Amino acid sequence: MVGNYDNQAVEKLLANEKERIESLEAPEELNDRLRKALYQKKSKKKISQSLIAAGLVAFLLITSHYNVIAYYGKKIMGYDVIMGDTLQKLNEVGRGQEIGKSYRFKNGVEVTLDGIMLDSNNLLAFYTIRDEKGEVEEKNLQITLIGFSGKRYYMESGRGEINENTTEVKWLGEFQTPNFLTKTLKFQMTLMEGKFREEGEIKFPLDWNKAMGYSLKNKLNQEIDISGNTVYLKELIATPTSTVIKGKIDTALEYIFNRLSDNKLFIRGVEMDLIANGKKIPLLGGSLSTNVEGITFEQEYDALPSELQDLKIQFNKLTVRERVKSSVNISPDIKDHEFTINDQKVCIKKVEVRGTNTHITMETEDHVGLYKPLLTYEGGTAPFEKVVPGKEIKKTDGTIMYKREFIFQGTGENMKLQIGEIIYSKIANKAMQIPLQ
Amino acid sequence: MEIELLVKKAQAHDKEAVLKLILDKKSEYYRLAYVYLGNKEDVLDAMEDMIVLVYENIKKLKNPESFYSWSKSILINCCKKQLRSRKKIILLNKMEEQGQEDSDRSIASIDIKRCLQKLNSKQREAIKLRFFLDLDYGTIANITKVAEGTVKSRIHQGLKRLKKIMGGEYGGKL
Repeated sequence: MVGNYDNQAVEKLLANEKERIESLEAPEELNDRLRKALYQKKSKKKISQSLIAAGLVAFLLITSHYNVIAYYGKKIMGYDVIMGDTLQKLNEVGRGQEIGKSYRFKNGVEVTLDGIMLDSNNLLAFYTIRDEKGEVEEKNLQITLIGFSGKRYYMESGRGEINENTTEVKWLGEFQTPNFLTKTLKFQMTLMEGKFREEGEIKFPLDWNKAMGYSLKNKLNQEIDISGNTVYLKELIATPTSTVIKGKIDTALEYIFNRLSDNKLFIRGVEMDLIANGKKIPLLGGSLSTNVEGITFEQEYDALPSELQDLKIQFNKLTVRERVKSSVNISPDIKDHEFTINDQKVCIKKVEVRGTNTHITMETEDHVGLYKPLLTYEGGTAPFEKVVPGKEIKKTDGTIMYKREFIFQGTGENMKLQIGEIIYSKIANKAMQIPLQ
Repeated sequence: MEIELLVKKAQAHDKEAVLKLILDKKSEYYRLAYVYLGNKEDVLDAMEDMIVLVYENIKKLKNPESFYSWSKSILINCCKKQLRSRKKIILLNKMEEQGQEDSDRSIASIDIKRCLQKLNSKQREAIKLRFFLDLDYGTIANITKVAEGTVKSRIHQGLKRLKKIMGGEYGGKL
C-alpha cells in the first residue's frame, strides 16, 4: 500500500536524524584548518587582477571557436544539477553530442534522449522522462543500448534529479563505451508501472568525431600487499570525463583457496584515494565483481587536472567479509566480557532479559559489522529480531568504538550466541606513485 | 554589539576578527554544512572555502547584524559547489556484493537519508534545514535566498512526497 505511512512515523525518523545532527560538535582540528586557510590565502594584488583579465581574454578567444559550434544547439541543456563541474565544462565547450529525439508511450509518458557524451571510459546518456500527471517517480524505465551486430550495453550506474511538481526527471545514465565499429545505437526502453509494460526505442547515430580519447593510459601491472591479500593494479585510464583504475584482488589460485577454506572469505571493497598534484580527486563510483578469475574491481574518479605534475594512489583499507565458526556463552550476569572473532575484538557490555526477549549489547571497533546472529538455549532457538543502533565513541587513542543492542525473541538456560559473519576493514596506508609517461 | 565591532574590524582586514566571528559559532556552521555534505572531511573543506570568501567579501556586508545569515549563505554555496563536483553516482547493477546486508548500524538514519535523496534537491534542502537544524521559515528563506512562501511550500510538498515514498518503500510498516 502506498501512502499509508503515517505522519508520526515520518516525523519520528526526521527527529532521530535531528538528534544525531545535534550531537555533532565541530572537530578540534577545525580551528587550525580555518586559521591556516585564512592566513595562507594569497592576498589579491592589483597586478594579479590584470593578469586574470588577460587570461580571460585568451580563454574567450580559444573557446569562442567551440562556442560557434556549440551555439547551434550542440550543448546539452538542463543538466546542470546532475552534471558536476567536469561534465559541465565539457558541455560548455560543446563536447557533448546533441540528440534531441523523443518517444511517447501509450500511457502518455514521454522520454527524450537529449544528448550523449562519449569517451574511452564511458558513454554517458542524458535523458528526460516526462509525465504530465505528476507521477513520474512511480514510472520504472529500464534502458539498454543495442549496438553493432546486436551487442547490448547495460546501464552501469545512473543519477537523476526530479523537479518540484514531479512531472519530470532528468537522468544521467552511464554505459560501457561501445565497440568502435558501432555507427548507430538503439536506445531501448522498457517502461513499467504496475501491470503496464511497454517497449520503445530511439535510434541515433554515434558521432565518433565527438568522442573524446584518453589523456593518460597507463599499464600499471603493480601489486601491493594488504595484510595477506594481494591487490593487483592493472591499469589507469584518464579521459576528459573521468579517470578509471582497474585491478584485481587475489589471484585465481588464492581466490579458489580462500573459497575452499573454512573461513570462506569475500572481499567487500577496496578503498583508495587518487591524489593528483597533492589533491584528492573526487570518487565517482566503484564496482567489484567476482568470477572464476578472482575478484576484479574498477574505481572511477573525476577527471585529472590538466597540468599534471604528480599522481599517486593511496590505499586506505580493504574491507572483508568472513564466516565465523565460534560461539560465546551468554548469561544475564555477563558484563564487559571481551573475546575475539577472527582477530577482531568484541565486547559484550551487558545482557538483559526483558519479558520474553534477550537484549545483548555489544561493542566493537567502528569498522566492524556483526551479521547473522543466532542465539540458542537449552531446547530452542531465540529468533533474531533487530539491532538497535547506538552511538560511536571516540577513545583517547583515536579509535572509534561502536555500541549496539541485538534483540532476540526468547530466552532460556545455557544461552549461546553465535555470530555467523563478520565484516571488517584491514587498514592499508600504503601509497603507489604512478609514472606519468 | 560585539558582533558589530568584530565585523568592523574584519572589514578593516583583521583576520583574527573573522576567525573569532566564525569560531564563536563553529558548531552551528559545522552542523549546517554537515546537513548538506554528510561527512567531516567535506565539511572542513567547505568551511575553509567559506572563511576565505567571508574575508574577501566582508566589505560588501552593509549591515553587520546580519553577519551570521550572510556568512551561512556563503557556506551553503560552498557546500553546493562541493556537491556538484562530487557528482555522487548511485550504483545500480554493479555493487551486487553490498546490496542485501549493508551494515547493522544507524538503520533509521540510513532509511531517512535514502528517502530524502528521492526528493527534489530544493525540497530536500528545505526539509533538512527545518527539521534537522530546527531553523524557522524566515531564517531558511534568508539563507537560501528565496521567499518565505516558497520555503513553506517546498517543506509541505516535500513532506507529502516523503510520506508517499516511505509508504511505498516500507508498505506502511516501520
